[in-house]
Amino acid sequence: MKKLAVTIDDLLFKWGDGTPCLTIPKFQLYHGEKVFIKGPSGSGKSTLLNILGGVLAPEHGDIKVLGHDYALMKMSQLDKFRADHIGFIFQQFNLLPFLSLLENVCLPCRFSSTRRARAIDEFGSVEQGAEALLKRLGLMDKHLYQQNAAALSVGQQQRVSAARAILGSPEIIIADEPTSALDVDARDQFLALLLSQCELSGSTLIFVSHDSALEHHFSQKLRLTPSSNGGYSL
Amino acid sequence: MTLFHLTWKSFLNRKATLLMMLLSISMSVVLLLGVDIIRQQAKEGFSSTVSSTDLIVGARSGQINLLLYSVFHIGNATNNITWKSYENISQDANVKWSIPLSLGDSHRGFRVLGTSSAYFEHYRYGAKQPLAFSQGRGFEGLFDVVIGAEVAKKLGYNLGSPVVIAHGMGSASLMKHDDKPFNVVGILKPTGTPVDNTLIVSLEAIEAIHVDWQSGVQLPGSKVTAEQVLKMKLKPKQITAFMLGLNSRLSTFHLQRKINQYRNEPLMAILPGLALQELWGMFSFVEKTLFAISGLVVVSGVLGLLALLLSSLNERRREMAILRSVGARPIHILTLLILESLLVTLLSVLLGIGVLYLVMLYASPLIQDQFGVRLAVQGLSLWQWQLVGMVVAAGSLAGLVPGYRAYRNSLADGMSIKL
Ligand SMILES: Nc1ncnc2c1ncn2[C@@H]1O[C@H](COP(=O)(O)OP(=O)(O)O)[C@@H](O)[C@H]1O
Ligand SMILES: [Mg+2]
Repeated sequence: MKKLAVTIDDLLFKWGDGTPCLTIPKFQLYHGEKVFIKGPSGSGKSTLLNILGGVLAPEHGDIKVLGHDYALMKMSQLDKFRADHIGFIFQQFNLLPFLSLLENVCLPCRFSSTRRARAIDEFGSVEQGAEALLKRLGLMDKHLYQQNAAALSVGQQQRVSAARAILGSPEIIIADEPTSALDVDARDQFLALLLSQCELSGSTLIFVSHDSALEHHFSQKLRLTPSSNGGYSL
Repeated sequence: MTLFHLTWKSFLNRKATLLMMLLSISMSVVLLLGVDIIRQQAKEGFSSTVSSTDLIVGARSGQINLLLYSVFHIGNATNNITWKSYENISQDANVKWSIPLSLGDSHRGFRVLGTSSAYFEHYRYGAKQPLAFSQGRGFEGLFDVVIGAEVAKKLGYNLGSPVVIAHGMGSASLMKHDDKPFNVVGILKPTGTPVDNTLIVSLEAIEAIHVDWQSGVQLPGSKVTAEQVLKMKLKPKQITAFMLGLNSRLSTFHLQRKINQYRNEPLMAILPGLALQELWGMFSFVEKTLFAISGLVVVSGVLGLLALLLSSLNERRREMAILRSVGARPIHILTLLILESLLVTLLSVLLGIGVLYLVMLYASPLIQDQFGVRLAVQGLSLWQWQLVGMVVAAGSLAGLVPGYRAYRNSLADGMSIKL
C-alpha cells in the first residue's frame, strides 16, 4: 500500500490585507510521486510552496506532511522539520555567491543532522555525497567544485541547487520554477536530470511552474484556477 | 562549516564596505585608547614632577600656592623665610637632606633658582631620576650658572654663554643685574619638568647680585663691583622655600606638624604628592572632556556600523532567504548578523591596538627627545581593557538591531524572494 506524503484539507490562505489568495479543498500526494502544478504568474504557486514548507500558516485547513500535522507544531518544530525533510529549489540566484559549489551543496547538511546522517550513510561523507550528486547532475569538472558559485552559468547553478536539494535524501523536494531562467535545451536537460535523481532517491517532487511546455515530463498534473472569491484554487 | 565560517565568507564578500567600517572603528579605538594612555601617563608624569621629596616648606599660604612657586616656578611667594629657620629645621634629626630654594629673579622670561649643590645631589623627578648634565657640570664659582634643557634650546646657549639676570619676572624688566654677568657652566638633560625652564645659580650668587640692592631697587651711589663681591663673605639671609628628604617616611607627619607649629615665624610644610594630586584634580575637567570626545568618536563609529549593517540588509534579503530554504532558523540569521558586527568590531579593536602600539613605539623616542617626557610603551591597563570590552560589546549590540530586523524579515519573506 502506498503511503501518503502530503495531504491538504479545506485550506484557505489569506494575506495580511484579508483578500483570499488560495483555496485548496483537497490535495493528496503519495510517496515518490511527482506532481506538476501549473498556474499563471501571481496565482499563488510560491505561496503554496511556502505553506507546504510550514513557513506560511493558512487561515484554516489541515496540512499533514509525512504524518506531521502542521497546525500542532511550533515554529521551531516546523523549522526543524523543514530542514530535515524538505529540499528546495528556486527560480534563480539560489546559491550563496560567496561560497564554493561544494559548500553550497553541503549547506542543508550543516543545518540538519538528519540529512547529514543520511548523506554520510549513503556516500561516506557529506562532501563525497555532494561530489557524487554534482557528477550525476552533469557537473563533471572537479575544478569547479572549489569555485565560487557566482562564477557559474545559470544552468550550472540550477544543477547545483538540485544537488543541494537532493543531498541527504529529504523525502520531499519542492521546486519553484527552477527552469524559468533557462533556455529550452538547458531546461529539458535539467528537468530530465532532476526527475531521474528524484527517482533514484525515491523523493516526492512538487514542481510548480507557469510553463505548460514542461507538463509532458510529469504524469500527474494539477492546475491553479481563478476561484469565485477572487483568489485561486487547486 | 559553521555559522562563523558563513559569516566570514559573507564578510569577505562585502569586504570593501566592511573594511572602511573596520578602519573607521579602529581609528576611533586608537583615539579612545590613545587619549586614555596619554591621560594616564600625563597624570603619572605630573604627579612625579618632583619625587623623593617628603616635605616642601615655605611661608604660610595655600598648599597649591606653595607647590606652584616652589616646584613649578609659577607665581610668587607671599613671604620669604629666614635662613635661620631653614638651618634650624634642616638640622632636625629626621632630616636626611635639604635643598634651599631662592626664587624671584629671571633671565629673559625664564626663572632663576638660587640653591645649593644639594640640588644636583638630591633633587629627583619622575621615577626617582636624578638630574643629569648633557654638557658641563654644576656651579662652583660665584658667577656660574647651570641652565635647563629648554632654556638652552630656546635661547641658543652653550657652555660659556654670558647670562645677565634681571630683577623680578618679565623679559622687558629694566632693572638688570648687568654689572654682574654670569657664565653658563652646565646644561641639564631634558626632564619634562619645570627644571627644563630654569636657570640655576648658587644662593651666594643670588646674595651677591643683591648686595647693593635694597627693597628691590639698586642703592644709588653704593655700587659694589663684581670684583669686590667676589671678595665678600656672602651668607644668605632669606630664602623662598626648601625641600626636605627624611630618613624615614614614617616621620613625615610628625615633622610636618612640627613645622606648621614653628614658633619663630609662620611656616607651612606640604607633602608634594598630595599637593600635586590636588592640583591635578583641578584640571580633571580637561581629562573628562577629552574622554567624552573620544567616547563620542567611538559612538559615532558604532552608529556608522549600525547604519551600514541596516542598509545592507535589503541587498542581503536574498542571502537570508536562501539560508532559510536550506534549513537555517531565524535564530541562525540573528546570530549571523551579531557575529558579523562582533567580527567587525573585534578586528577593528585588534587593528586599533596594533596601530596604537606602532605609533607609540615610533613616537616614544621622538617625544623623549623633543619634550623630555618618557612615553612608556606598556600593556593596556585593566581600565583600558574594559574600554576595549565596551567597544566590542557596543559593536555586537549594534548587530542586534539589524539582526532583529533580518529575523523579522526572514519570518515574513520565508523562502521566496521577489526578483
Ligand atoms: N508578502 C506578501 N504579502 C501580500 N501579498 C503577497 C505577498 N507575497 C505575495 N503576495 C501576493 O500573493 C499572490 C500570489 O503570489 P505568489 O505566490 O508569489 O504567486 P506566484 O508564485 O504564483 O507567481 C500575488 O497576488 C501576490 O501579489
Ligand atoms: Mg512565484
